[in-house]
Amino acid sequence: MTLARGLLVGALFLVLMLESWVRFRRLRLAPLRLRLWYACFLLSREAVEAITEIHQRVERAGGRSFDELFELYASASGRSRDEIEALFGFQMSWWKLTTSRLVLQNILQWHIGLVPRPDQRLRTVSIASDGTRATDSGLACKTVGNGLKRVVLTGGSVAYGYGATGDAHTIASRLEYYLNSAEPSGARRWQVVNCAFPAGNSFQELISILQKVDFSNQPPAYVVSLTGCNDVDQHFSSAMPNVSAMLQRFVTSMHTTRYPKSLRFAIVYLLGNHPLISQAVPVPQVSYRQAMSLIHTTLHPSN
Amino acid sequence: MRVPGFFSRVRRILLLGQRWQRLKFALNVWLQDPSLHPLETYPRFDVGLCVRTFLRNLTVMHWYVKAKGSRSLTYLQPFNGVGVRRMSSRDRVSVEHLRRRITVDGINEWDAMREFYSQAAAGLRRLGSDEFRDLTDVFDHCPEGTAIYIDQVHCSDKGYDLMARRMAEDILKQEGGVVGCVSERPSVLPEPAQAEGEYGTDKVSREAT
Repeated sequence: MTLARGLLVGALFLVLMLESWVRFRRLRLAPLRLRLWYACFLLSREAVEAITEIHQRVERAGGRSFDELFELYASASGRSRDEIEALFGFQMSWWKLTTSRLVLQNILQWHIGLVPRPDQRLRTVSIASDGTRATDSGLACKTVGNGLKRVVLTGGSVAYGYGATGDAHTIASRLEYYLNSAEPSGARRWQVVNCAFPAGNSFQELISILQKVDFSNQPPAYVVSLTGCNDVDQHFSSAMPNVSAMLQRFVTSMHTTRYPKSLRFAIVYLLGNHPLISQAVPVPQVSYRQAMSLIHTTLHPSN
Repeated sequence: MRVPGFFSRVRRILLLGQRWQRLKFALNVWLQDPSLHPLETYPRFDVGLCVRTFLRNLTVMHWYVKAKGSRSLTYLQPFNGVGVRRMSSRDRVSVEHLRRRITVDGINEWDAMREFYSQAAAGLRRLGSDEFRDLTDVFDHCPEGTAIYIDQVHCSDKGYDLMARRMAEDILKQEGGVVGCVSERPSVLPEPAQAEGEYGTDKVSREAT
């Protein structure tokens, strides 16, 4: 009996040690301090997600450590290494790391997929109440009420500003800055709305324009789309069907098939178990059938 | 008892080292270490279908926006390695990540991406140069070795600023405004200088892989 108990305790100890070692190994590019905390089960889930995200960025950049990535960021953004480390790094106490909000929370939006949850503010990203990324052109000039022209920017993570050191350095903010700074009167006449979201492909952009852009009240002067990379990336890796791939396949048969209710439940079932979704909030605004009939009646009003 | 000689001892040590390397490799395989080649394997990739889907979505989006009374501008986003700009050492290393993602046909994602970009750019040219524009040449004038990308596709502040400047020029051109105003920077903005001449070079050192 004692031997069996001893063996059981020993086996549990071995499993724990193995798990610790696997954890230590998993964050192999992170600083030793973070690896040890993770191996000792001391980090919160959100802290691990934040560290894993930077870890993946290091891998994508072909680096070997967090330090190399921060050096690259500093070089590509024209900022000092310390500034970059303060914005993206984890030079903080264990308590602050485990209690701070460090990663964006996503929600499931119908027909689009994962989009950032509204009303969030992190170190480098702010999401407004309408779900768009905040723009900040930094211009202190007066806004012209009547003649304000709206530009809607759509696209994937590049248009969203992934990797920018703040909201003021995204494409949308810089575009707003350049458009307004060209005004001879010095007044603010342009407003750029950043409707892009990470991993968005061209089809998701189309749906997001149908759902989010208000053409009836005050139509935007321009709808600018910056796209390309996510389409090929998601086509390439559609072996494991993600939302985009499922949606893309569905839209090809959109004209001939009715919207199956079972697909909706399948997507919810699949995404509802996704670890990155903390709260799934379906927003059924426009169905495919409605979207296509809307496009059809707009383009062919006589029919 | 025969004492092993010097060469025999060295051989044994080398063999032990090999065994250790093999053990490490087996362990990495078991742990699915992403540094092993290939990173992931995918089924067949049809670049033609991908381009057709892409262009169809853009065309529908363009006509919808136009029918609603707005103007549409569509840009093919830049990508590391597309265009005449020479890649920095860091760029070359980051692209290796894509080369390790291959299909069952042996096509890696880097080649697939380049093929897609060449076909998509040609398709966009056919659709019309006013509304559909190729932004892949936006970094062509940057000096060699300039750090623009932070991975295969994402930039940081400098890259985004250049893209925004090009977009602003296009919009102002369509509006009939003075394009030259875009490059002038009023003093109200307290932020890092991003003029063309002030770009630093890629100082990230890295051993050759």
